[in-house]
Amino acid sequence: MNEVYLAGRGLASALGPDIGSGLVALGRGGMPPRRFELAGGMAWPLYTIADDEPDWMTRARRIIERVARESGALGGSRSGPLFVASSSLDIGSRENSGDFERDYQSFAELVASWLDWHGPVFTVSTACTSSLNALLSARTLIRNGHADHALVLGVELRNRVSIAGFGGMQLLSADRALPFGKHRDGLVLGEAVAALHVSSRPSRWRIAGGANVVEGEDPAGTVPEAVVAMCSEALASSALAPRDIALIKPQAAGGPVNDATEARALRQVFDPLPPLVSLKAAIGHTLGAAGAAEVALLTACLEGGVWPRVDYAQDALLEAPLADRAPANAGHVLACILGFGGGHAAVVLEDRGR
Amino acid sequence: MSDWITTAHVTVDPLPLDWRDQLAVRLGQRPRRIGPWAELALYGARLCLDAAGESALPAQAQLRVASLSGPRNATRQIVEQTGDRSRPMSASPERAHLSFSTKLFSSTDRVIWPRSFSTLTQTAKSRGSSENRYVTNGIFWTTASGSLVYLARIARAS
Repeated sequence: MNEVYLAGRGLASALGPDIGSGLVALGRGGMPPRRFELAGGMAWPLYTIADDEPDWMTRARRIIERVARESGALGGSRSGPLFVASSSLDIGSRENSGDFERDYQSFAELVASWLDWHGPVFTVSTACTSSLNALLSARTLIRNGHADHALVLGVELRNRVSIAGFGGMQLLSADRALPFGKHRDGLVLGEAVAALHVSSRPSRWRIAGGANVVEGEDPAGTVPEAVVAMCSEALASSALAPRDIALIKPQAAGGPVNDATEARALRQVFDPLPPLVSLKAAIGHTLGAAGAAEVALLTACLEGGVWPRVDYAQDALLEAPLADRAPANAGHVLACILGFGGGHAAVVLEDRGR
Repeated sequence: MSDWITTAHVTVDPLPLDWRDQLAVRLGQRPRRIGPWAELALYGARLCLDAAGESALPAQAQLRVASLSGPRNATRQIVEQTGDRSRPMSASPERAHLSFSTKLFSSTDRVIWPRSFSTLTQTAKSRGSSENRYVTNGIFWTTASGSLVYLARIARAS
């Protein structure tokens, strides 16, 4: 079995068009969400990428090309697998054009043509777990020798369907997301394009393991047994015990019930809980891109010594406080994404550079 | 990339009318808590395994459910309705709507909630909303695409 490493990363989010500018913005306290207008005068907050290009596809191409370039994946062979992971794909374009004749692989093929990518192209659309599942799939291919590198793109760009859907399900906050916060009242969505270039060539971050558990009993909510199973499988695949995890990035989207359920389940696995960190108050919940976006941002934070501020009251009842600074030694990091469809996905990262 | 071998390939076209009954007989029971799209995937997977002479997948096998069209038609209807500012309600009482609409989803009081959707009431922000007038009855319906679940509302306008 080959080991798998994070060779490079790129990220465009509300924090900035690339990792460097994002870290600077995060260090200054982040960027506020903007108001996204829906029909009938309704509006919700949305963390947006600062690019006012009105044409959806032109904007998508510019952002994706830049982020993929930032990851370093375009500097070498482009013959490995390309994963385009998204919950909404190009709906933002289709809802404007009304073109629903193209199949669901067409956007990934288009992205591949933008990047002049010659390898096999996959679409992964498993709601919020999309890009973590794509990362796990890329890891599987590399571990088993089917590829020596791969590019995982998490893409979630502005569209009305996602906002209206989440708003309609009464899952959104009208103001801001407060992950694990005392006054949390829903999540805030965000745009992101993230690129994770993974390779068999050793580098600082090893993708030690991961898991994807689907529990369909509750398609829209966190299932505690599934969280426990996800953690257990992720640890087992990494040959680690709970005490080996030095930092957890939970889903922590800011939902009143789901945050509590997740915290309770994590406490079942980890006693005591290691330090926790959430990035959703900074970039929002970026749905299918969230896994890749948060892995990219978190690893950059740990390398760069930048840490997201927690400037709101936390919910003491959760007994899961967010850390106000990075752990001294984040040797192994567990990053989780929980999503619609009963998806519970996690990846374990090992920092070999400490 | 390594080479792969296809050990079995099944095409069912057209789909037999009793495919769900066939699947139930093959499984010994009807599958529970999955939508028709996932059920169809299960039907095809079972046929394919049978054709390959395998009773079950190996323990560590990876299962992928793929589709070129997936929830395209449902998404198209959602987009058409969310993009039309005169909807989500229709003047025709006979017309059932498939919608992600905020107004319809706000109507929690008269909805028959399947057990699996109980958490949709978790914030209950709009209980008692005046939007209830738009709905006289209804159920929620799901289709699954992999683990991607589209929630849709079938409602009759009052």
